[in-house]
Amino acid sequence: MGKQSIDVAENRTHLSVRNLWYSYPERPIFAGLNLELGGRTAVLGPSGCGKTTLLRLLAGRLVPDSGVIDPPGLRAAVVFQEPRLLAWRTVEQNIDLVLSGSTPDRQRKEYWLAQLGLESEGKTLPARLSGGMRQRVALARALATDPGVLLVDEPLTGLDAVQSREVAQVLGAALVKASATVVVVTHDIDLALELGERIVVLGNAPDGPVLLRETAGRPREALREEILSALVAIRSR
Amino acid sequence: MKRILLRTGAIFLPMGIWAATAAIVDLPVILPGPVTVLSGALEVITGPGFFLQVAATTIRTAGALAVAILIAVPAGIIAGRHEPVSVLLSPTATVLRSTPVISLILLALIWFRSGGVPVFVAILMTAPILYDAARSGSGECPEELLEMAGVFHVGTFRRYREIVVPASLPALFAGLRSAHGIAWKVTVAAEVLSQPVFGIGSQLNQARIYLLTELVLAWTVILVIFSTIGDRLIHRAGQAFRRRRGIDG
Repeated sequence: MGKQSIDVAENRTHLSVRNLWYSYPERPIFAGLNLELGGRTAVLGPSGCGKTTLLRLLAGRLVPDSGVIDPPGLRAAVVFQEPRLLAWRTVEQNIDLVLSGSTPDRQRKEYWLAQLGLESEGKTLPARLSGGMRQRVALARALATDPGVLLVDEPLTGLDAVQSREVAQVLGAALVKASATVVVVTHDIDLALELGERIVVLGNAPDGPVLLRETAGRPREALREEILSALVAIRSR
Repeated sequence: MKRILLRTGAIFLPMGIWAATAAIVDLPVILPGPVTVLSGALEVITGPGFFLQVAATTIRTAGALAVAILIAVPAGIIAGRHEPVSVLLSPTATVLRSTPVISLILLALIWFRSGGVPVFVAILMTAPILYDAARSGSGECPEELLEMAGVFHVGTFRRYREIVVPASLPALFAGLRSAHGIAWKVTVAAEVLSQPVFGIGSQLNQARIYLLTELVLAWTVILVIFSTIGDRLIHRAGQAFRRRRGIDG
């Protein structure tokens, strides 16, 4: 099988995916996937290549058929495609739901609400917020848990152009400040380049990752072309 | 304007038909007219012990509903999320749903004192309605919210309290309205047969024995008014909840 391994040097929390196999009843998704994740990684790939499945495996919501995700039991937080907020709870109560109520938890909640421009919206119900603001609340909720790894799944889904721009900017600024290892799954090349310190392009099983590029110091247009070529190549296989 | 006209018509048309039929029959003991019933109602309301009679039935109805809520709602909410619990409770719910109310009243007459009969029967008749509503509400709780709670390691009790129960409330309010209406009817029916000292059902039976048809109808009108007030209160509570959730308003 065409197993492939990519190693990313990283100083922060390191997440290793080694020889990961996972199948749905109708088809294999990962066949011996190897990935080293650290810092902020943006994962791109065609529909159905297993981007969201990878996030669910990293979050511990799916159990791999075989293989290792190391370190095991790393505290993961997820920003889902939709904000997944409780409509009957205020912004603060939505965040409190996932916290223990300790003083450090409260301080982190207040810190991230302020960082994400939500300090005046603590008592607001989600229905009174714009789509972009709801996604910011979801981000604050995830970051307030002080996760070891932050998993972000297609964060701009369902947002209009203005809201997408706003969320992308806020997300970029917040992820730089977060101490967690960040994995962002997206089909949006520009968002990947904006958020990721490195880019991984996933192919369809059994190929695994087909492209890895560090973004620092590289011309954005050249990277964009490279990613686009990789995606076209995957589709034409 | 059209709506006001329609509403007025909806009240006065049946009243007109009733008055006309009563005039044709011309036998108040068989069918008294609206005016006779209204004066009977005034007589009942201003008579001695009215509030005691109404309070007795109201307390029995509310008490039975409260007990049914305490038993059936938690059971239904858990059953909606856990198939084995649903399978385990399904035969009991089916039997209670299918049992004729008169069988339950007769059994209760053997087992309990007169005042307990209406409460017991109303509990058993309303519990399956509340159970079904709670089970359906919790079964339809958004899976994506539960997945979110799982990802963030929210505990089971907190998950139920913060997600499953609030998500079930719209279905629960709908079930509560049905159960509330049935509770009044069943309580009064059981009072008619068990004859407690105080209760609207006992008064209805007394009026029937003495062929005071206008009083039978007067007590019925009073019953309908109280039941409607309760129904509106539940409806308002449901609306307030929906507003709080930001669903409307």
